[in-house]
Amino acid sequence: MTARAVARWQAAAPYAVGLVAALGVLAVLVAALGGDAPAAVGSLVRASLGSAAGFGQTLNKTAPLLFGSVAVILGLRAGAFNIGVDGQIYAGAVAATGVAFLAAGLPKLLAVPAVLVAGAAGGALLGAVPGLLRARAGVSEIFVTVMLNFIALFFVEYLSTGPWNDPMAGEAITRAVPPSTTLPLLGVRVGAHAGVLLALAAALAVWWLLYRTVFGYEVRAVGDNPTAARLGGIPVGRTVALALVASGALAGLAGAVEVSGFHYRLILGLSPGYGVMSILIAVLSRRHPLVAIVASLGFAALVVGTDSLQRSVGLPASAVFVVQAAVLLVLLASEGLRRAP
Amino acid sequence: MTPLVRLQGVRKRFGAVQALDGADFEVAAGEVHGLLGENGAGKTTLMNVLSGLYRPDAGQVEVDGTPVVIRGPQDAVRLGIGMVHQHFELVRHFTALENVVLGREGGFLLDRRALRADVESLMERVGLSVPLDRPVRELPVGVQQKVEILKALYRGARLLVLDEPTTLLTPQEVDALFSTLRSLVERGLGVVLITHKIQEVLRACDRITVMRRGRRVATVARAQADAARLVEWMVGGAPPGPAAKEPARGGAALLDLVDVQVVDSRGVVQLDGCTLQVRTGEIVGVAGVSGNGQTALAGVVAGALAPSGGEIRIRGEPVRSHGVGPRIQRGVLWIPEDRVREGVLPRMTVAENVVLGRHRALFPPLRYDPRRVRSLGEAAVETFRVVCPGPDAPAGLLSGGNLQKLLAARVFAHAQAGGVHLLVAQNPTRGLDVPSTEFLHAQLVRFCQQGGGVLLISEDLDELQKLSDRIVVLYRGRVVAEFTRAQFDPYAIGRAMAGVEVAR
Repeated sequence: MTARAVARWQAAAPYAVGLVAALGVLAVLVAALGGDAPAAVGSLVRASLGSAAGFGQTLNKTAPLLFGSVAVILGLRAGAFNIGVDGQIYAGAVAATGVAFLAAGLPKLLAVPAVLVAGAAGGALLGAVPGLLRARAGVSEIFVTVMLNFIALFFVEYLSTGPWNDPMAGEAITRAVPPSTTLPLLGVRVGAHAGVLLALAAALAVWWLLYRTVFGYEVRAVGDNPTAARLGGIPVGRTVALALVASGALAGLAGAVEVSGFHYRLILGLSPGYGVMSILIAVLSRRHPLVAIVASLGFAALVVGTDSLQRSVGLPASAVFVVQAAVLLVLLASEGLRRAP
Repeated sequence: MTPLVRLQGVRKRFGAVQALDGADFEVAAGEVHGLLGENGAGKTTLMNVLSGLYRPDAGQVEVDGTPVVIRGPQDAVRLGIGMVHQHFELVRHFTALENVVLGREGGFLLDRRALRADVESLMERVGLSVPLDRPVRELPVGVQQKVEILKALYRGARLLVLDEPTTLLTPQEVDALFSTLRSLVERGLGVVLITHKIQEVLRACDRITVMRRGRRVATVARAQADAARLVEWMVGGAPPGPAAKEPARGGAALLDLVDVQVVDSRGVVQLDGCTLQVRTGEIVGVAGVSGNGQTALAGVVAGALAPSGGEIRIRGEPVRSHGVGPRIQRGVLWIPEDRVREGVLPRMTVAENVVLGRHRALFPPLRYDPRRVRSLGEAAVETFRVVCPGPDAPAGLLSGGNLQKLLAARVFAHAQAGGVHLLVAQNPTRGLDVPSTEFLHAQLVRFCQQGGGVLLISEDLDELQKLSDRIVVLYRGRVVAEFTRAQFDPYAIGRAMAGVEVAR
């Protein structure tokens, strides 16, 4: 094994320790909340990775998390903090849903790409706002993206309760998109849709962009030291703006995939905090898009597995969130330990 | 009379740089003592030894004639030494009162009234007054500085050291500061004023010590000092040694500045009608006491600053679009002065740092080739003797001197690849050891012999005299004098740098 490979394994070791510690905390918490701890751990593993259907659910959860985390990574690499992943997911979902309604008559081979392109465009549009404001006026992207989250969310509320509302449902959801516009399933038994493959392709594309293109070099240079980048002849403002546009497009794809792969419609609760989770994954992955693949998968398994505790061990929903958050904290703390000298 | 503080034979080394090389200094109670020298002369390092921030490698410190060992800032405070740093160390959201008593509150509960009475009586005693209840961030810079001074006095300082205290002040605030200092020494304190501004020491000080290259050059009373002499001491009065390069033979014009003006973002005029020319094969040295427009000159030539007036021509063609990128395309490169802030990409690899500025010429947009970057980096590191773990190591791991070499390697590797006509180098050898300095000088000379031109902005008069075909002197943003090699004379150059009218 080369020295580099050894170093990589050493870097991974704290995560393994963290994972074991997290399972320990889980067991203790479940017992304290009156549940059966060993059964809970078993159920968690079975529901997320140990069964075909569970693994399918994990993959479906991986797709938006991976899109979102590489979106955050691309922004961070340019030195911009994209907190607007949620808003961009909603913008992408709105655009995808709208195009899906329009594409009703088209064959699937045309309709699905159109929906995906629309999703990317919707997210990119929302990413362009903070990008341009920062490049032109020096406005912090943090403010702008947070504000746009609200705008996008309430616009979805308007659409899902207003013009696109499904009158039969009685909730804030829109009519279903035409079947010709939905993503194919990877296998009927697994129940996973093709979105996870798209997300995987997106992660690889971000890696290629960052490490194999001149633009990627400039993004990394700007994120590392904007003054040095400027004095190296790099147009700093334009680079940051473009990175935020691309970041928005990636998040928008997450929205499109959620609509056309999972919900088959636009719903108000489309993003249960994907934006925040994406930031966590991006940081845990140390801003590397390939590491984010593994981290997103693990994160998705954790979310799906703990969700199942409600059914298997009979924990109340709020207790499930407590367990989830505690397990996450332990994982994050292990990341902190890795960094401490 | 026993001096308040005496430092003898103080030595301090940082890596390859001997910051203090047997420095001596003394200050008495009742005087304002100016500590004068160029950036990097060791003034601040010496005072940091006194205030306990650095432990000296050798040398002796005496307070009131008794040898002492200062192990840390707490010891210095106990001995009555107070330091006011160039950038204030105030809690911006606290009031002036809270800042003054910070760390000296005594006990768990704040007895605001007692503390306030304390500070008020202190203000009365020393004749300094600040609004105690306003948050510090709302106070003007000059008043913030008074808060810093009060803070030091509240801790019992008998010696007040101020590091470049006038940098951020308006002229009125400078006047107020100097009268404050005067009243403090009349009450028996000692004051050390660290500065590189000659006019200030002549105005405010009773005695002046000049430092250069980590040693004391001279100490004189105010009455015996004159500006030209002080400059000569600061920059080194050695007569010019042998030239490092063949004289240039009047090639084509590479760079013309005609009446160029630069006004910075605060509205301060940095370059005030600067006119100069660099021709092929020529090194033009720019001398000047720092702060006379050198950074603006480098910035405007390299494209980082847009001029607010005048004309810039590169190889005879007027420049219309500013920005570093367009300038690189026209063959103008810059070795910046502040290498960490302005030059290095700390988390990227050494090799990735080497290709910065050249990356667009090297690769088509979608064909960035990390292997080629690595081999270019490896070659540059080898040629320019950058000490680093390897081309894949993050540049942030390198020491200061090696970072400087890395930036030089970036520029010279780029120049060797062709298409580069003019280098702008600002203090390119500051912080380098002697062999590296020689090596870099040889590179500059070689670049000129291959038909390039160099604008060498330096505070080191020896370096300028060694390398330059001509030396121009920058004073308050203008070129006030020009010397050809036959006319080089440190005394005359020094007088021009001090702003003394030169008969021409």
